[in-house]
Amino acid sequence: MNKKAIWFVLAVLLQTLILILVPARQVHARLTGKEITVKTAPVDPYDFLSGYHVILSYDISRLPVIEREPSEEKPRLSTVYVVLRQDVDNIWVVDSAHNRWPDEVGADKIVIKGRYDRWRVLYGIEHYFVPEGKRSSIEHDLRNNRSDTCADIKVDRFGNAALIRLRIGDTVYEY
Amino acid sequence: MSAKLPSARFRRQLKEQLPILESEGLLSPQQTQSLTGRYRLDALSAEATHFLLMAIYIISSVLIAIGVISFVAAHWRDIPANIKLAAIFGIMLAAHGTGFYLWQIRQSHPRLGHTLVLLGTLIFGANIGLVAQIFHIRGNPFDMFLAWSIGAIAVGYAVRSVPNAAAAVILAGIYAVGNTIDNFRFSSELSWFPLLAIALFVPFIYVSRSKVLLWLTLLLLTITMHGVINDEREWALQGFALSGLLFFSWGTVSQNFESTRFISSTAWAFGVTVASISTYFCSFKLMHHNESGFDSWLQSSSTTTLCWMGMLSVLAVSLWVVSLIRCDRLIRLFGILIAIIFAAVVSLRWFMPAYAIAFTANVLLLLMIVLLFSASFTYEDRRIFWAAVALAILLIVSRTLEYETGLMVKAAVFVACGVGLMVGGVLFERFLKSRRTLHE
Repeated sequence: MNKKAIWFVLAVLLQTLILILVPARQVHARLTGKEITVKTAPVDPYDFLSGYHVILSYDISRLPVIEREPSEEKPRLSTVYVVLRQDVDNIWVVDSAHNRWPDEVGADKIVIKGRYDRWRVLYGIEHYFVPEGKRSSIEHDLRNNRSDTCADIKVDRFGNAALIRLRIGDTVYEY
Repeated sequence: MSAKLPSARFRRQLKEQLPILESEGLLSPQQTQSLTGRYRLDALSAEATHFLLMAIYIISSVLIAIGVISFVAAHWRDIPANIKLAAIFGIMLAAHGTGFYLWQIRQSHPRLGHTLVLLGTLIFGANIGLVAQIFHIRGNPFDMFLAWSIGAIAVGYAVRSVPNAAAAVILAGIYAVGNTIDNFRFSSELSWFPLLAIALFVPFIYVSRSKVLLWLTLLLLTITMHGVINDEREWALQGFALSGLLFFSWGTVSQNFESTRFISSTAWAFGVTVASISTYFCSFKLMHHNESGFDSWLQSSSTTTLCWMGMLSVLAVSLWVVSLIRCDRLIRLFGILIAIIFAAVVSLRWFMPAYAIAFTANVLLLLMIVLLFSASFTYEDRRIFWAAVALAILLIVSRTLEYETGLMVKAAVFVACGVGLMVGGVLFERFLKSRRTLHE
């Protein structure tokens, strides 16, 4: 194998590695994470490049108070660590939020990592791609069950989250 | 000794004229034969076929790539994720593998092979979107362009592919512009980007000696230098001034070596242009109404931005110092002027009132015009002459319109510019003609 072939193989391997790294956090969360349920309030737009997808907004996306250093102004898209606890009906809600990984987290709580974006926190699980054939049925379910929609997610020990399934009323949409 | 062939258009016209010249007795059959061989006129139709095939291959690759990208929008949820992943990886690897085999191993269809490798890179970009879709990931859409660019430049280096490298530069530009521009103003969040772009793309320019890539890289750096220096003003003129110093110095250093001389004229042109743009906007008094002190600028800039800015400035200044060692007098004067422009644009706003900065900028612009005129006569280059004329007219008209002047004054200025342009152009052409006669 000549030099050019070796370099070319390495370049293609780099491209393959990039493709593997794209979903790495989600895959790790799906394989090793703890499954929890959170409340959602979805919105439905159309995106040309990515096809139809539902934008999911969670109750845990809105934080009442964030513990941060005094006089520190939170810039857009900075990392925030949110501690969740289990509430009634097995729904997980916000317990507290921190600028850095919290020192002590109880066994009955879990830390999820997000990016603070102006008025809300993004966890990388805000998009659920909708098959073309199922768009109208999902739209109908969403409209009729706006207050009765939950998402099952898995959160790994690094705080990465992956969306597993969407529950709209009695209907379950598996990822 | 083989020499570079002139354009295909010239060769086609020559091929048409040769029989006529032969029939008129101006050329003998042997001379016609020699000219046909010298300019490879018999190969014209084969070259046209190859060119057409290359164009077809590239267009079809782009169309196929668009088709694959459009495929992302149609969800193929019924197929299991594992098979989907295998399919998209397989298509990408097949394009790369087949292309490399045809191009570099079998060498039977080099253009088709090269195009397939480019197609593989385009499919790689589509695959980033597909993989994100399969796993329901939707981050910042512009981030995928950086990943795509890195993959493209890796292939570019591996097989010395200018199309892949050019795609990488364009993709990197989309990433940078998309990520930083906010209400038509660049932020300093990507202050590290110009150095990354230099590290990734400049070595390839030396390797490939591609002028297309040189142009694209200089354009990319010019646009993204805005993000380097945190500036309260809308136009981030310091970025332009820094680019001007960097590019001009690079061009001057490149002039000293045979292998890098191809960089000089383009780098000089870019350097002078961006430095002039920076100075031109600084020449307006209104640009300086929000001046703050050095301390408040220091406090408002993040440490990382200052570090990146510092590194880029050190690079530009170091290159500038080296460039002055061995260059001719006129180039040295340009280099000194551009360095003064950089220093002035960056620092004067902290120490001088608005009118003084504007006045200084006007003086620097005048000096630039004088140097350009001088260069046009020294190098007998029309392009430099007309650049100087354009800059001079722009300066005069801008000052006339900026300040309160009566209609009569404005009329006189415009007439004077028009007459000056005519007289100057005619005199310059006479000068060129006299120089041509002297050389002959």
